[in-house]
Amino acid sequence: MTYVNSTANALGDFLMSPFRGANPWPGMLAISFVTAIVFVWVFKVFSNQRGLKRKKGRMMARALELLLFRHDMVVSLTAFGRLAAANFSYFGELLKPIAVSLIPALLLLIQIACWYEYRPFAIGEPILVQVDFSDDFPMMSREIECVSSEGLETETDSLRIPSLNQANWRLRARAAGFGWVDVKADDASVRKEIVVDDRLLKVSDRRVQSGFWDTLFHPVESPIEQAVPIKQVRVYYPHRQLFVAGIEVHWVIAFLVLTMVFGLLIGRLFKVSF
Amino acid sequence: MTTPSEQSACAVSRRRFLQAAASAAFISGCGESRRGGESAARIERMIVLGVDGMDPTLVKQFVAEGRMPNCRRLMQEGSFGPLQTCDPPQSPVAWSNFISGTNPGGHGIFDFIARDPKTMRPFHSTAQSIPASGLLPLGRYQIPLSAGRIENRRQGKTFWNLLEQSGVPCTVFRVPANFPTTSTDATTLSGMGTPDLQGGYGTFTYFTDDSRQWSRDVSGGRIEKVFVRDHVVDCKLKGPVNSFLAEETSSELTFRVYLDPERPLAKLVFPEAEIMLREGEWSEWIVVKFPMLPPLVQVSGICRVLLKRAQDGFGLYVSPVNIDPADPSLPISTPPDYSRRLVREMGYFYTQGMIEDTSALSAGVLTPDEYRQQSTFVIEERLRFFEHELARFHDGFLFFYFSSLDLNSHVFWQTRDPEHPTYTQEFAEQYGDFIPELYDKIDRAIGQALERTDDKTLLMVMSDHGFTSFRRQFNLNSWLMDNGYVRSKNPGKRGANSYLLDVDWSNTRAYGLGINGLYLNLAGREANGIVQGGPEADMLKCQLIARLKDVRDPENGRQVIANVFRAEEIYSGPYLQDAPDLVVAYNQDYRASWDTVLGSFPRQHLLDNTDAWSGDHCVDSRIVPGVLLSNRAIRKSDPDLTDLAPTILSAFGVPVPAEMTGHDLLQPQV
Repeated sequence: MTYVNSTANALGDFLMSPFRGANPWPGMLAISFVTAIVFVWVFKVFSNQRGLKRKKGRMMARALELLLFRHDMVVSLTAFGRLAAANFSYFGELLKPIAVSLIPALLLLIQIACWYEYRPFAIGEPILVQVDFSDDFPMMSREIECVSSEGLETETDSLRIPSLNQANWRLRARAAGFGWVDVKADDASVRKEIVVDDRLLKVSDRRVQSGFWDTLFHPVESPIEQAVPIKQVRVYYPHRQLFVAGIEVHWVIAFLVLTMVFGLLIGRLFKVSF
Repeated sequence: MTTPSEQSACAVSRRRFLQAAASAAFISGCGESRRGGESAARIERMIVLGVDGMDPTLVKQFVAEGRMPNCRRLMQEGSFGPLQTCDPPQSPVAWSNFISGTNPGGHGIFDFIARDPKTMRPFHSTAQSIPASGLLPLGRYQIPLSAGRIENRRQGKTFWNLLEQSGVPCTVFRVPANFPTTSTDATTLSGMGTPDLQGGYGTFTYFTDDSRQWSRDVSGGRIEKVFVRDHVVDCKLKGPVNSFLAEETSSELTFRVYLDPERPLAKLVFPEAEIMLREGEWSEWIVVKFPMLPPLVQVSGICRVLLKRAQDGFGLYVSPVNIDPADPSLPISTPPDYSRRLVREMGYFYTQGMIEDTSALSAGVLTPDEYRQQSTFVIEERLRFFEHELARFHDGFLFFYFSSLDLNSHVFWQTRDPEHPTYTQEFAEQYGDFIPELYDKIDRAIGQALERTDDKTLLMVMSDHGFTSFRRQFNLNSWLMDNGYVRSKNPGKRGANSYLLDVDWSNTRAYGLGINGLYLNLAGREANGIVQGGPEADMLKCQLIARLKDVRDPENGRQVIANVFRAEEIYSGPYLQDAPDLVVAYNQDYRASWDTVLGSFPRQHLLDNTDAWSGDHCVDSRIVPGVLLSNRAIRKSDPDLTDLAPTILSAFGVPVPAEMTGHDLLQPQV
């Protein structure tokens, strides 16, 4: 998983590196465009274009049949059944390219989420750092500490929640940059990155102990070692907001709509049948 | 300004009379004539700073002390003087005069509270909720087939609409009596009159585990008893009434507070946010979303919290939940995107009309220090937004409203009046600097506006009224009852009910409602009216005027009521018939009691005012004039609030409509 994440991180950083400005839209447009090209190509290569055309034609014919004989119930019902069958058959043709695209699409969405789900802290904003300890670690009787880098100010003592075996600190962003906190429990120490900036930058809201899904969904920072009594260090970043004509749009919606629009245009250009 | 009891009245009256209608909203000319003196535009830009409650005597005093250099400059280079306010000098009335250029007979707002003579039910005078109709029952839910709405009850033309129609771009920031924002091309944000999400003027919540407390409503807020178990507290915050439910109840939002076992720290976990506070700390804005028809419909609000106690007990103050300006459930701005744009550019901000939580101070939930902190947030936020608006203002008209002097003069006036019943030297020494400090901050804003003025810019600083002490309270309704004008249905239970519920209407000739209103129980108008119009009504009015002006305070022999006006003496216009028959103008240091405002009948006629609300202005208008400062010479000898709209229109060369009764202040009087 670590190698997959490293490759995906490197690719994501490379693609997004020209778009680290204050405006998140150029990056969104670019990543949607590149994604559309790649997935149209994948679709063209892994789909049976001739079969697809044939099945789309059949669907059209069944639809016309339904329309023409709408006054005859028996024929209409039969046509409806044939239309449904044609639809299933069409979707069957899509299974192969979808299966091929599924894992890259998931990795891509996870990478984009690192850029668009949250935004870095602004200078002056409070930062809540939450540390979840292993169930067998007696947090209340041990010494725990949070040391922050320059540019971050630790404002509070640790707030310990025995029922959750969790400790929290509040920091404040004082200067822009890639800062960090070192969370120390007994002799172990875990470093968590905290980004303060007003640009579009990749952030990681949590660093987790290894586990397939946790590692897959939080690819930016390497997993916490198993020997350390800390399950995860979480930083509550603010959600990034994207606006279209003053209306907030979730990044997933924006990405999917843009990718589909670009995909349809590119598909037409390269004569790809969907 | 409202008093705490008014706020309570608003909350209760909403519950009783407007609740369903208010929540339902979540689901969802006269000819113009040119008058003398109008010509082409004399200016290119105009800035008006509306400073609620700025008192001319205090301005003179502070300028003399060298505290307000920018005011001094305006006085020297332009003009300064008192601005005649209206009767009664209540903010919604006064600001409506300013907006429409007419007296209350022309805009229909006569008091904070009005009543429906057919039902005798009181309601907010400035806005009215129209509930959704055609409800389709679906199990425990009901689906409205038409959307509810809220209507602004202020009538008449607004000067900014006339300016916009003539091509003058306008920004009107939080002018009172403009909720919901009326249809306009101007950029406007609603101000005083904008409710919180519960529909009142502001309802705080205080969560506590104090064994002496129990869950209950208090004036302007609610105390919620909670229990701390394993250092965890579960809290339920009330939201708007959920009119999607067949049995309408308040929506609720649950959040959890984790306390450190040994340190005064707490983590608050809301559905939309997690924050950490130290004891004594205020939070930033928190977004809270109340489920109405999950998962389809929710109402978004914002609030701030103060962690009062986290060790040896628990106390958490939650501010009234303001309408979320990023996702407003009611119309608070024009264009509708304006409030969202402000959030994007400046962050969240107070949208509630009456921001400073004087109710929490009066209830003892906020200490004076904590209240002062909250008040300071408000003025600092206003100054930030003023700077922002000023930076993007290049031409046209800009109005910007400051509320801080008014509400803080209400609650800190005793620091300036050694004869006030609640005056103590210690309190005066500790908090006596706050009102001057706020005047200094307003002076800073005036200075910023002055920097943006040139010979083509007109700058005016005005207030709707001044201030005086509120030492003694008069129970007008009790006086009416004891003098035979009102008969009670239950004399034994006198004072138990508000809203005139105890009145035996078949034997009642006059009643008080609102702060200064006195109505006759008129046959043909009131549902059970017994006083005939014409000579009988005139005679009754004469009698009431003479007897009320004769009321003396047994403590000191002073006259309690300076004047009583007939409506037709002081008002004119199409809405005159909605006015109280008589307007009671109290003498200096006196005002209507907290009880009488809401139609209650306690036994005492006069009593000390021992509430934190120690200053007021709902007295004879001659006692509390406002302020008018300008960078141009004011040529009218007795400027009045109604003169400002015609002055603004004339300055831009826009014809003044015939119904505006004021005059251009920059032109010599004919």
